[in-house]
Amino acid sequence: MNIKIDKQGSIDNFKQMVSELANDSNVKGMLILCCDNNGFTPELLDPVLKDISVPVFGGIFPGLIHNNEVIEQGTVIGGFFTEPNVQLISSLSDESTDFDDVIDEKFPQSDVAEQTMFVIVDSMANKINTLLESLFNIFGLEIRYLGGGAGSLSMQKKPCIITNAGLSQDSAVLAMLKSHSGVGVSHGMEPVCGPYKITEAKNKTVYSLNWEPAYSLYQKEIKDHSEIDPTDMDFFGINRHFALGINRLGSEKIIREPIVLGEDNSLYFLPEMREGEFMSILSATGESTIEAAKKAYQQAQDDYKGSREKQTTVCFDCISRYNILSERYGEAIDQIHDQAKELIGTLSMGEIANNGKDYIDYYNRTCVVGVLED
Amino acid sequence: MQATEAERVQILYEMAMSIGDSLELKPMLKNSLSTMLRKLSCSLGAIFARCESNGVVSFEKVFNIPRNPVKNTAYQKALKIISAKGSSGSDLSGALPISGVDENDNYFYIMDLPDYGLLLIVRNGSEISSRFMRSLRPINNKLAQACLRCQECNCQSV
Repeated sequence: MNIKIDKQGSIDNFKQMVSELANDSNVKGMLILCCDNNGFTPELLDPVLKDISVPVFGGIFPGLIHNNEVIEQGTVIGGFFTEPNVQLISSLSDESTDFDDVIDEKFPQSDVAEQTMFVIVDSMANKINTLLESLFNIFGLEIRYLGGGAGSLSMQKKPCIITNAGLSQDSAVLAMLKSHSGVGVSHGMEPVCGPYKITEAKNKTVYSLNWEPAYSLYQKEIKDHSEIDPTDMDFFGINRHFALGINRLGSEKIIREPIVLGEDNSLYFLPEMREGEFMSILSATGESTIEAAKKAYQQAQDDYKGSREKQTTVCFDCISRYNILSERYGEAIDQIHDQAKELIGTLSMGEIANNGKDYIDYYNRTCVVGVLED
Repeated sequence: MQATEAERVQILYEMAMSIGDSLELKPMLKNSLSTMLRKLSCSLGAIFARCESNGVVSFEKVFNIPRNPVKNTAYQKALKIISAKGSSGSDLSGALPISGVDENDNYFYIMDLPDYGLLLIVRNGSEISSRFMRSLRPINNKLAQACLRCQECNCQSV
């Protein structure tokens, strides 16, 4: 992979990097990752994207990672030596869309063995889990999945998905690469109390747990079962220490992190929330959060069957993990960054991964690491 | 990673609640089977209906997730068992559940759907305990009943 970095986030530097990669005859496609702080709009970016002759895909994220550095304003572009099959999925909040049919139509080929799919979604869209279920219905676990949620920490809905068609919102981009990869996923959170049943939910909002207002129960149970008294903490103070998690048989819990507190004591999450599911309250220490990065990297290496020489590490690490670890975040990145290999990644709003074993899912507060043969 | 007893009960409850929410077979199975696969961390699931013609029993696949599972070696191994048992005329239901593993540590489980057919699931990397498999029986009975209701409904509408 031919990687270009700009730490200023300017459109002129963006054009320059794109031009350099387009002139490299080995580059057959580009992964474009931009910071939200760049202020890129469709007016600025679309003319450049539409002019690129190779397939491109990517997104706008709250932050980026390059080697052992976090970039809060800038752009990272990875030039692939293998041509990706890039498909834009629109109307990702549409209740009536059958994504099985959409994916079937976009990827008619049946042989997907030893392939890797990047999945980058607009984190504000309502049907992300439905799309992932459709990916599973069509491809199963024959391919490795890797990706995350794009968007802005301001929670504003705005164009954040990058393809050759330009910047788009309420959409997802799927990019299939004929490359070996290994994928690892870990979060390091452990149960504190629960479980609690989701008794009322619509789309991404949980109104009640065990028939009590969701936030009231969340706050009360934390007070009763942990050493932290949340009474004088605001919502974000509580969130620094706790999250919720859904059970799967024999796997790590799937983290569900409430990100907005509603006036009616409801909790808003990035993934769709299902009535009838059970969630426990979980917490993590700084050490277990850092250890999760190490575990994810190790899983990815164990899962990888390609060439050791041509390896690039791509990570999608949750922006919450960065905010929680704060000045210790560098210790987490050190667990993923092998000095001999280049690391690129995002601080994302939700993470997507599958290593061929568990059911594909949209994770929160999780570190996803992919090692890619390119 | 071991689930606690409370977590196992939750998983069973969530699977039970996903069964029978439609009288059309495929939408009902899509919801039930995808919930089962999600909750059990499985990579593949298929439902087979039992057919009998002139005393010969066979199993016809009526639904599967993912749509094209042919490359899954555990699935292929399980299919061979299902077709061999069916064509030999032996009583497959008496031998159920049948489990096995392929060379990639992918485990398959063939279970009875009483009076309807079979359920096949594949889990990659780690097996399901025999104790939990026994807990799945009432869920499978409920799924079989839901399949039969869908079948009856379809016959009546035709």
